[in-house]
Amino acid sequence: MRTQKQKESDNKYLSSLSDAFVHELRHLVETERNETMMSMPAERVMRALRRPQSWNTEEVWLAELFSWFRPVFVAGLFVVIALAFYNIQLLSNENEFEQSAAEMVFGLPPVTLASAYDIHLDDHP
Amino acid sequence: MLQASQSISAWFSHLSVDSTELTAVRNLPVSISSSESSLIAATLDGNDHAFRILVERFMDEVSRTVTGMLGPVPEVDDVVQEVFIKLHGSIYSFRGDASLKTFVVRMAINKSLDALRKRKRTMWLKPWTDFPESDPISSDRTDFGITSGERRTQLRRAVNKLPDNQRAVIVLRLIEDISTEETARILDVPYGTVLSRLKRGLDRLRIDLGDSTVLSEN
Repeated sequence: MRTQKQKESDNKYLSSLSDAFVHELRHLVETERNETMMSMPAERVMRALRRPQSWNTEEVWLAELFSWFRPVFVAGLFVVIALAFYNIQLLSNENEFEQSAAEMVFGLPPVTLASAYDIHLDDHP
Repeated sequence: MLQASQSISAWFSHLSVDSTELTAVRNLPVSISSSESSLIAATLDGNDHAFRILVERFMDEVSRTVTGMLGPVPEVDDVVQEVFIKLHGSIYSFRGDASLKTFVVRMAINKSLDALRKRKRTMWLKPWTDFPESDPISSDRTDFGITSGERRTQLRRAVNKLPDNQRAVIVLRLIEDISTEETARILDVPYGTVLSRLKRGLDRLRIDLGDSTVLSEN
């Protein structure tokens, strides 16, 4: 419940103002708003709402990192594919050992645990 | 979908509306003339068109409030957008005990105050040469005797010199023509506080602009 005194103060402050001044203030803000706001603001709000909203600092950082390292990742992938292709080509042509596809892709030497401990004394006279 | 239904039911439970009315509101097609409650219910139901109507309905109030608080700066556009994005995210919390306009304008004031605080923080990081020497306002002749550009610059400087809390009262009370009671509700301060801020704000404007342009002749 407002006191009579408060209502009187409210009326006193506002009635002391000139209408021209209040009009000027409103006109100022209207003009500034029209100059500042871009066109179709409602459309832009709706477009912004359709974008994912859950972007916190960590997610922004991750997205930025991905965008920076995407070319590095693509180049790295090419190198890996080229190496795998080279390994398969080389080993399938020159290797007399029976290697699995995985071993050939990774370019692993044809060494098993048993062959590693298998001493060939003929090799070391 | 289930989550949306639950939030609509929760929202209607605030307003004490029974489920038959809820179904009726949901089934109604929304249009520019639809009531606030049906637009809110449709928005909660995932209807983008309903929210767009709400955005268009309150765009003038929000953009004027934000411009009044921040002045003619590019960040106005972003702040207005943030207000509506926040409204979309928190419309379920609207209880209906005040008008939706009060709810939206409160968000606009809060976002503007955040932007002003951020501006003050970043101002110290900028070199002094970054500050514009004069405001980019046109200068056409008007009935006020001095050029409109000069007068606008003078008015804007006077408004910008007001402390944030007094500026908020001036914007709501004089520019938006919102009652003192509603202003108190928006700013979440007592009625008397709004009156004292209004008085102090007007006194400052009188000092900066001169009595003759602010006071009435009666």
